[in-house]
Amino acid sequence: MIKKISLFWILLGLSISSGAASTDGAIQFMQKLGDQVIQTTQTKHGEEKRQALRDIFENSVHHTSIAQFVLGKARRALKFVFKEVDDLEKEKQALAHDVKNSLEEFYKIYKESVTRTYLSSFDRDYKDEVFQATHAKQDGEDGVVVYSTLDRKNGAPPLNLHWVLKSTEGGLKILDLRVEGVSQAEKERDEAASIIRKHKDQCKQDGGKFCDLAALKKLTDDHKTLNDEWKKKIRGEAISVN
Amino acid sequence: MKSYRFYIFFVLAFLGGCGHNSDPSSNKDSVESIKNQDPFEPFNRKMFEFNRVLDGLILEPFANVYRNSVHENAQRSISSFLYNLAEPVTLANDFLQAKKDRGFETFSRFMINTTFGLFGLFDVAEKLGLPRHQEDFGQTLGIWGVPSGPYLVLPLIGSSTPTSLVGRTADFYLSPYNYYMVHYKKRQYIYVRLGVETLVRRAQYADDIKNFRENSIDFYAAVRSFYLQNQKAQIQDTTDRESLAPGSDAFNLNDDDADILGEFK
Repeated sequence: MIKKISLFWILLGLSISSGAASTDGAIQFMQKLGDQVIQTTQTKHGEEKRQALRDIFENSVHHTSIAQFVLGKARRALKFVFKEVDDLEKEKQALAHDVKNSLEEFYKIYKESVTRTYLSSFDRDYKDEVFQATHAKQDGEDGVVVYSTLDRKNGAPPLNLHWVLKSTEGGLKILDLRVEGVSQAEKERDEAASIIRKHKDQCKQDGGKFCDLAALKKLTDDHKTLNDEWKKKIRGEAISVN
Repeated sequence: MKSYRFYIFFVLAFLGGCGHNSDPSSNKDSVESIKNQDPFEPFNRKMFEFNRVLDGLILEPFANVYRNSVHENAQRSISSFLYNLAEPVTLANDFLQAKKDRGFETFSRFMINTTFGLFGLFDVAEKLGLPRHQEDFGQTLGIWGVPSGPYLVLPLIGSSTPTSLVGRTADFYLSPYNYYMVHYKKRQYIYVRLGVETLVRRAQYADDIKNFRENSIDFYAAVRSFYLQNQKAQIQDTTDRESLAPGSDAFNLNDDDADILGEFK
């Protein structure tokens, strides 16, 4: 969860220095973020609420790092597409252009996917539910894991949410959310690996070239389709409410 | 282990179970790892679809009716009652896993909730500072070091592994409720409880499941990842669970896109 408006956080006094992350600052960051999300869902409605949540999440997540993590080895495998062309400088330059554009397109679409995931997960009624950032632990050189709980209704046990944060020049950013020990980034990477493998195998069977690149494009298309469907659904809900 | 993790899978694929990854320390990076963990993927995908259809036709509609027609407080009590019935199984597994403190905690919870909580309808123990946790024999086998074997999706049972299937069988016999019903030839009440529990958990996590499904580009792969990660986390519950998930360093990649493009950038 997480989002935008770093300026907003700075104004709120949420100044987290870059460099080594402070665990106290990280706890504060997550508590304020959680409170902000809950407050937004309780005080705003419809498109206004969604836009406010979008702002929060977009500014709080380190999208590129997550996107690169999700691609994993598939991103590095793109190097090998250059071996599939003859040693013609011009052809390789064109391919490099394609690879660069495809990666940028993926990052762009994936940023929207992350926002969609957080929005759909947290855009709900938090009545009688309490979010509490309890403690934090230093994680690597510039990372912090913040431990939090969300008390739930209907007899469901409290949810343990662990946030992996990274200190950046723009303040703390979220890298991963672990729900009851399950990493969302790892889940996303497993999904991506499954899609990439499927399309790469198919491409090879069809005798295609640049299959690593083709699989990346397919993965981007799949995310784009899901994002578009979600936008359509949101628009439909807005129309039915009006 | 939190019941959440157990039940979210129970219902996600139509019903999880428990099972364990054979290599909890592995931090997989993809395709090869998935092939190793899921050697029967084509079969599993077919079973997954079968379970999804059943879920859509039967479980989900009934769960929605339950959510919309039963008062929230009554839902909470029913849920609590069912959790209480499972406490003896957790208790046995606490001790089998040598978690004495948790075992005494479970025992206290069961006694308090069965008496003051009116057979578990009210979770009085939680209010007294004894939070609920859940253990099963699949976890116990994992903690004993038994490898989980490959990921399997079975009709009606859903996500599982060979170890988790053995665990479920053992848990059946560890349950005093089941023992009583079998002994007095009232087996039908075992099925009633299973049906009610499945319905209640499906209703309890309906929103989470819907979100999970709607936000997956490959729902099967997402459920498999969730299940296997969940099992790893369960086994490591008392040790260093956090170390299993990727830490911030895992996101600090040593190359950037320029390296990939090499001299052609």
